[in-house]
Amino acid sequence: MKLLVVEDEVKTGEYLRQGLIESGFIVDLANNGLDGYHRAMTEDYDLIILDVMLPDISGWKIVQSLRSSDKTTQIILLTARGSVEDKVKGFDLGADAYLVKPFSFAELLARIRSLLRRNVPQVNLNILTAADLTMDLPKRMVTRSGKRIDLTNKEFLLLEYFLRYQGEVLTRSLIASQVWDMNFDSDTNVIDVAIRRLRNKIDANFEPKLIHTIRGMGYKLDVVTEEEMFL
Amino acid sequence: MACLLLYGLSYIIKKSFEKYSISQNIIELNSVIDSIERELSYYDPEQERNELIQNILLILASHHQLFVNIIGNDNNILYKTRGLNLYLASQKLDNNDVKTDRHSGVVNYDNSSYLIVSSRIYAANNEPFTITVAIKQDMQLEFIERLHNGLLILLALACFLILIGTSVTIYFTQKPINQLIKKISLIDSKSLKVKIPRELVPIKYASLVDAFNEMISRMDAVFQRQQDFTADIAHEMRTPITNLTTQTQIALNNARTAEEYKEVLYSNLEEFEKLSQIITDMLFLAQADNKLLIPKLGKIDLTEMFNRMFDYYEYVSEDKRIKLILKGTCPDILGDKLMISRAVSNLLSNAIRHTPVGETITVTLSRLNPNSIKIIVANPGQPIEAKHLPLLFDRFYRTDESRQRNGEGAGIGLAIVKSIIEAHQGEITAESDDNSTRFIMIFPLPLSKVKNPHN
Repeated sequence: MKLLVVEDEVKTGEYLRQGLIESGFIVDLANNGLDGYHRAMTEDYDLIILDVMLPDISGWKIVQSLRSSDKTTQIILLTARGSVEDKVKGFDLGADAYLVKPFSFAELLARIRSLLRRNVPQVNLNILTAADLTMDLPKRMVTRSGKRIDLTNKEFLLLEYFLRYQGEVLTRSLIASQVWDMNFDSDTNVIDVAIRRLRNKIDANFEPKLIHTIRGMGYKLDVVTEEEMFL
Repeated sequence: MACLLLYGLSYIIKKSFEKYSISQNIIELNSVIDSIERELSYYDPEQERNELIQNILLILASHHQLFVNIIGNDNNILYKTRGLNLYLASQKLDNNDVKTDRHSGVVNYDNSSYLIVSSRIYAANNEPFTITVAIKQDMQLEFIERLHNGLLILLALACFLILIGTSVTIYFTQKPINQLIKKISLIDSKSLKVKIPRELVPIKYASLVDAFNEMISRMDAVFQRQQDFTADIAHEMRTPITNLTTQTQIALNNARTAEEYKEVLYSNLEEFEKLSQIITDMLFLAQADNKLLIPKLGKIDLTEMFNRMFDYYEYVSEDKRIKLILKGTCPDILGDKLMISRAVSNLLSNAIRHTPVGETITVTLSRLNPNSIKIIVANPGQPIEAKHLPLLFDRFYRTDESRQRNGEGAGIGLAIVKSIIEAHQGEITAESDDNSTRFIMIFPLPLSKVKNPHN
């Protein structure tokens, strides 16, 4: 997957590139709007990460120009301005996602992956698995090591979300938005409580542990041990 | 301006006098000519020259400084008064060809000014005569000149008095304004609380001073908010930044294991999260403070919204064995769904935090009157002292009894709730007694005119 990052802040741009390369993407970095626009027009990218406040051409203008040239590459806008009007403007011009600085890298990664997944025809799996845990969606049944686990409606949705995004860090605000439809800064302590309950049911009496806390970022479901995660 | 007008007036007076004096003189000269013409119409040159002269003298006797010249055929002088050479003087007259008409004019001759009227008539024997009569105008002109000079002196005096009067008036009128200017020029950001006393200015300027004082008060409030905001944000950021700096410096002091470095980075990440949250919340409140929160209005079913919130807080409340109950109903309101959700979420999480284990939180929806609805979020627990109640909604208001202490984003949740409610033209108050603590919100129905700072 090839990404273009257009960011005039050198430090931010470099860290984004490093982080994305380490997450398995091929990344081009443009330090100004003109260069970014030129690359976006002439090369094929799967997704563009575009800063709004650029010194020469604004990100808004670039999105507008790309869309009016029928470039359908997905675009994530990065901005320090979090007003509702700005978000609406971004979507109106044809951006696919909008992240307000400061954002967490995990959140950006999650957005990138969910957008790129849009491009791939989704095979609607009826059975989701991770290690010895199985989720049968039509039967609404979860088993681990063959033992049936009873989950509440929300716990089921939460686990389904984790299973669909295995290996990805999911931030608390993403979980709140996806599972509870809370699209604002809510009390994310709720998510911690929900995760604790889910863990008690699917991880407490089993090995390996599936749900991992990624400090300062969120949670992820992965079939590796905590130690392996950072090797 | 006044001086110019007065000068104009004196000029008009002078000209009027001159005109009047000339017209009076012309009347006099014409009457003299009429009399002479009458005498001449009976005049027979052969017999009556002496008698004519006698009669002319009689006519002239009642007139002062009059000169007469009567010329017959071949420039033959019939009668001429002494002194002024009228013949020469009348040469200066712009004579018309038509000598039958009387014509008149002013002639300066021998340093004097004369008004001359001349007429041509035919005597009884058909002999043509030219009668020229002149009157010396010097005295009249001198009088008019003296009058004019007097007027000019009066004018100069009047102008001087006007100047003095105006200066004095301006000085006394300007004095309070100058004092006002002096006072205003001393106002700076530190003295925004200073009020300009009304006594400083005449009564007609009192409303100006009031308006100015009100403006200063408003500016003071804005300035105060800005200062508070800056102080709050600096205070709130100090702790995480101190932690970040200290931890990083300590980590760099000695060689550490990868595990220890990782721990420092995690810890820093947590502090950054806090900072990020503080900035987001503070910006939201700054927008609210400056009336920049503009709700995107839509219909909101509060029953549905509270049920969704109960659903969200289910696990947390179950952890404390707290029951969440929704009572009553109310019509849909118009509001910004995200904002109202945020306010409701903050209130519920606040209530859950302060409710003792095993108790019940009750949300009651009702219609207060045709124009408004009421939402009450009530929870049992430690009562809040009355003095703290109005301050609960202040940013970072903290007392031991305050309900705003929690591990994260403390002290800002209720301030955000209040901002959101007020942006929807609603109001929120808090009550507390031994039974429960209640947050009461009133929303107008319909919320059609939300405050818009651009209006």
